[in-house]
Amino acid sequence: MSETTLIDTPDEFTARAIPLLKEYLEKLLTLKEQIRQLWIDYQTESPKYGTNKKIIFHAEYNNLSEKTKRIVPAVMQLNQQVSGMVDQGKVTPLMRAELQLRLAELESVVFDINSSLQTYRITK
Amino acid sequence: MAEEEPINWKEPAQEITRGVLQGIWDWFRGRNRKPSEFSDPVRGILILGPGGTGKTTFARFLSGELDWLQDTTGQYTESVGLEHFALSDDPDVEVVVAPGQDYRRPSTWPELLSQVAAGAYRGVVLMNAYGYHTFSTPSYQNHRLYKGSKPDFLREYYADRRSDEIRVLKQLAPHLSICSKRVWLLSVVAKQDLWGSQQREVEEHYLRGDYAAELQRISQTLGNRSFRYEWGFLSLIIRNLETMASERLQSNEAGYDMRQMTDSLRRLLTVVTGLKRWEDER
Ligand SMILES: Nc1nc2c(ncn2[C@@H]2O[C@H](COP(=O)(O)OP(=O)(O)OP(=O)(O)O)[C@@H](O)[C@H]2O)c(=O)[nH]1
Ligand SMILES: [Mg+2]
Repeated sequence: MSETTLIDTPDEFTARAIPLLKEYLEKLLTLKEQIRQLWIDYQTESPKYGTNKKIIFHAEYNNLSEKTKRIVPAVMQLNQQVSGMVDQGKVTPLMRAELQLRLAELESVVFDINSSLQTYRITK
Repeated sequence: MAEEEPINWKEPAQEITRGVLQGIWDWFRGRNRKPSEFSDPVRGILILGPGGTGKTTFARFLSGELDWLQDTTGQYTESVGLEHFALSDDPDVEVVVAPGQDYRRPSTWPELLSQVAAGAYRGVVLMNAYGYHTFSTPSYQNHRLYKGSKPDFLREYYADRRSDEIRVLKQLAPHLSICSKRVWLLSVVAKQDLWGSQQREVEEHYLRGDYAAELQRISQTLGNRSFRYEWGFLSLIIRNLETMASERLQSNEAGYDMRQMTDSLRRLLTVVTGLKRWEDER
């Protein structure tokens, strides 16, 4: 089989992966906070939505949920490559430690955000 | 006369495989037995082994979570934490699968191993794959063992993974050796479709080398009444070994087919029946 697949060298890999890990950690943390805040807002009395309150909050919840469901699988795909580099990649010990730490944080927020979606669910 | 109908192995193979997997699973879960026949009803099963050897695949097929032959994309998805397989009608008995990647072991294995020593499991399945472990560095070229030549890399990689298999056994051994209850160990060598034509070398490697010596030592410490070990060789998927970037590392063997697959599974069932009998001995 000819191997024409484009691949990154270990240095290119880490140079690309680290900003991505940072970016998506931030994004998922923000998303998680939005899910929680939406639920809090929903609990507090607010006359401005009137009888539509439930519908509006449900729609907003759905948007956040859909966004999460799109981002998370792609993040996990990134995570698995990073994990492979941590486990067996050609990286310096310090680089390995950095990748492992960043991965641990991102994996935790992936786990958290899934349970946040359950905990702060807003049904119609 | 019309040409002889080629035997279609797919359907019978599927039936046999489902039957065998179901049989093993029922035994794991202690179903089909009266409560009085349970040697110890609340002790689960632990599946341990290096990363990418096929532990999750095995457990998912056994539990029926994946249907054999129906759902075999075979994409490697590493386990990040413990996986528990339990029946809703009997949540006390669990099949626990540990993540195998080296760097993930410290967060889960120490506790599991002390549970092994405390007798929490009636059996441990140790998963091996004759070094043909799937890994997820995007390409083999960014693997730590790659130094410019693919054949050299492969040789080194498989040797390295085989020694990791022994390392895992050595890590488990002291805990098994002080296990306070009767316990069995089933060493499975998966991915037979990748090494089928080397059956003799594979048996030599496991049944006579360092691996066997280690098992022998545990056996001597615990004695035959308290410890029993068995071997199983099997394949659950017929699939090439590839990297994330789809580079082929090892082709599944031409000639390895479903017939061999089901033969191996049948043999595994015999082995499992032996273990079951041993469990039932008082
Ligand atoms: N060729 C072949 N591939 C297999 C077989 N069993 C599993 N695989 C493949 O091997 C890869 C790893 O399987 P997993 O079950 O995820 O391995 P694991 O031991 O759970 O790995 P970790 O979760 O990292 O510890 C997957 O791509 C599977 O499809 C087999 O019998 N033959
Ligand atoms: Mg797994």
